[in-house]
Amino acid sequence: MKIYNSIKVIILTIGIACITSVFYTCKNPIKDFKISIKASATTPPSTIQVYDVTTNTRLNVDPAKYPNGNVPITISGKDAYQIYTPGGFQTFSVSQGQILISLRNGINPTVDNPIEFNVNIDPDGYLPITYPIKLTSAEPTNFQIGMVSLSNLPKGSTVTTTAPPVTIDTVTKKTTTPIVIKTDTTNNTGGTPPPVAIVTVPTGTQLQDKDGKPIELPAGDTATTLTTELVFFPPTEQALNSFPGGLETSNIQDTSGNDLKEGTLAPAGWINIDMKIGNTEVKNFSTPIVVNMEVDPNTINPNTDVPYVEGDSINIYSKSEGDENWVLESVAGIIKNPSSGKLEIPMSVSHLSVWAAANFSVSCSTRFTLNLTNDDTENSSNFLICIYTPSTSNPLAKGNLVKSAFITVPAGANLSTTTEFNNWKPTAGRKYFVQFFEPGNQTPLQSIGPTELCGSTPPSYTSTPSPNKMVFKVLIRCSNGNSVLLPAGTKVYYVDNTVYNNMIVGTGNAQHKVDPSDNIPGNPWQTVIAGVKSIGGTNFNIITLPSTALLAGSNYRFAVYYDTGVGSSGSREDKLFPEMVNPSQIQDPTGLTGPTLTAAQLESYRGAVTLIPVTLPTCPF
Amino acid sequence: MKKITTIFLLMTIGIFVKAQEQPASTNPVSATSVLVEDKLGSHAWGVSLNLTTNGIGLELSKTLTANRKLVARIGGNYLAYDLKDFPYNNGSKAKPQYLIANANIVLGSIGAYIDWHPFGNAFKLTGGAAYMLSNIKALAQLRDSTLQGVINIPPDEVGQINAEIKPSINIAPYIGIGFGRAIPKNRVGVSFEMGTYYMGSPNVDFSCTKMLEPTSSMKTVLSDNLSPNQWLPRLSLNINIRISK
Repeated sequence: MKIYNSIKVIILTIGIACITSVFYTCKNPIKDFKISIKASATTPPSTIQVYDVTTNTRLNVDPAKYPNGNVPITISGKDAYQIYTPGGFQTFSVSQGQILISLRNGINPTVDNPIEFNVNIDPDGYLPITYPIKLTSAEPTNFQIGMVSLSNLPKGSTVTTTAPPVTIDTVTKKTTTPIVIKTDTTNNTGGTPPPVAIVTVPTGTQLQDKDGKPIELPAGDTATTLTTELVFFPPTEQALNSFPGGLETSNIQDTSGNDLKEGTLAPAGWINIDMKIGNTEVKNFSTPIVVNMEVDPNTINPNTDVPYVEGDSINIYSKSEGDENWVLESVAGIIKNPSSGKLEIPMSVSHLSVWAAANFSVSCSTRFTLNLTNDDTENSSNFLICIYTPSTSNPLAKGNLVKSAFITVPAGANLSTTTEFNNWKPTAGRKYFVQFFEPGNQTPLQSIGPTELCGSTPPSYTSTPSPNKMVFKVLIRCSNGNSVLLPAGTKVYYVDNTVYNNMIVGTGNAQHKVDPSDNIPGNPWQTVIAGVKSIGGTNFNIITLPSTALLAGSNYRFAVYYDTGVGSSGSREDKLFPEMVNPSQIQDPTGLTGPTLTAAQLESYRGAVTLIPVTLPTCPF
Repeated sequence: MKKITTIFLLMTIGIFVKAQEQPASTNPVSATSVLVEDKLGSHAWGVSLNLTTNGIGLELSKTLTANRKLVARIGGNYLAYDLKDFPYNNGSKAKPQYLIANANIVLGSIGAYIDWHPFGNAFKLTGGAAYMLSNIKALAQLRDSTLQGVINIPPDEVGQINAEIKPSINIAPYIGIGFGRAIPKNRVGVSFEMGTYYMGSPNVDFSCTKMLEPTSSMKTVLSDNLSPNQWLPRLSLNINIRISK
């Protein structure tokens, strides 16, 4: 009986021990569990590249006033309240040569209901600019704003600062002697004598302030000086990049304020005039003053496709500081100066602002469309599309680049797009080249043209599966260790690190190792768009490169841009890869399909949560 | 860190841990029905009302041997509960960020068991298998709006967390020990049983929407943390009624 009871106790003990043991296997179920909130209240950002048109790189500003080269800007206009940084702030700046702007998620501008605002940039040492922007889609779009450094003008341009004497009748408040100011060509960088402009203020002109009130001299004074600054731009390639508001514009009005058709301006020259008497700015005149601008003899009249000749007509436009619109003021006839024998455009100037002589080409009534087909059912394909206007001397010159876009076509998809070109309308009757590139390869996949794009069959290209692709997994980490999925359209940049280290660009305070955003010929940074692929049930960003893009024996630097959430200070995050042994032999440890894959991690530990794309055309010409 | 998943885990832990609290109070009750002499033969039948940590249920029992050392039981139990607007602080005490969770918790099983009374008395060892009905579905979202920059983002726009936890094995084996007979000598008796199902590592479905999408990667963490919990304990207090002579 004793043994019997002992067995009972043993069985009972073992049973209870077995059952209770399971209670102690529990692990804290929320150990290492983190909740991440993606900062995606804003749309993937559009990029506004701001650059010095002479150096094609970052603005050369005083670091004492603009730490890290960040230049504060303002956004104005009717839809300014809808514009945010990618981090959701409304304090903007130019950082590393660019401004990033987003909309509130859910805002979808259209062609019929666009978002319109102005970017106002006014750093010391540069001409201020008000650049109108119209968003017709929530998709990321690229804009470029070229700025003019007063200490390093675009080729052929001149700045003239002078203070001629002026005498004013104390009763009529009118000038009693003519004032003639000629642009100073001694400081131009063009090499050959550039065209000049002559400003004439006739006798009997009231100099008026911004309210139209005549400017009077202090009691008892009849003479003073007229402090004047003239910045004159003949239409050189560098100068054209700084044309206020851009050459393509829908912001033209007549003098009654009626909107005119959108199209492209072809300037023969423009001039920025500032005048002061004492501390009072001269803004208006009782009767127009006269500005005669010489015409470079090689300037083509787009109406005739040959250089301007005497008797040709040309439109005269004005654009006041802070205004987004050009106003069509008059039409001038080109004359020949009997003494110099040079062609001149006489402009009648009623107020001081920027004045331009330009002819205008009306845009096509339909938007440009491009068709792309990706026959590769495994991988998305990236294309760089470059559109040029042909010229007789150099069909594919950088200065002739009209539009460019990076486009990712999902695996096996057909894509017909207008938004990638920001709903661009080509000029009616004009011919263009269209080239299709694989990013990282300077040889075009296909060239079309010269051909008219208005009213013609949309250009198209069909890609075929390439056996020589490398697919990299791109892993972005935030400071909390969580990975982040790149927004659609995000660009990943890569460059041979040796080339990167040896290429110093910019001048003065803006000297730096070449950035992806530097708009310089031969910029070695290459661009690829990140796609998304599901690996093991989790979405990852991937980039697909041709196997020729990376060379064995080289180190490559990869980069993306982040929004740090403070102002618009997007900053670049780099990852230097180990030496490539043989890119075509890299094996994939991640399960990605394809013969030449690797799992590269592009890691960053900044506190940023939103990745931002930088979108610059890197068309080869 | 101590996030919404606590809600799910509380449910899961509730299945595991709450069972531990009951034996002390039930054991004395079951002891009153033990050591009853067998005079009922080999074809006695009984029914039981089960109050278990896996729900409330009914069982039908039948003796398999003349000495009544083997008894077969079939039956099921079930309990469903909706957890509504459960607040959970996802942030810190200084900077709270509350989540609101709603969950549907289902506990239950349908099973067949054999009781073996090795000593001929009320003590028994039990084995069997059950089709598991247990399942937890939960949905959570931020209680308050959040800011991105100067943008106020309402909870609906931030997104939701969806989770479902269920056994990876639908037919789960069971072992247990207990006191008391499923078919009491008297017309009514009480028995107690403690045991455990083997249900394998729980299956975790976890997804997050909209701005919470990056949290979806935490599925692996949850699965790993829950993977040791392969056993589902069950404590039961049974009221047994003999329905044959």
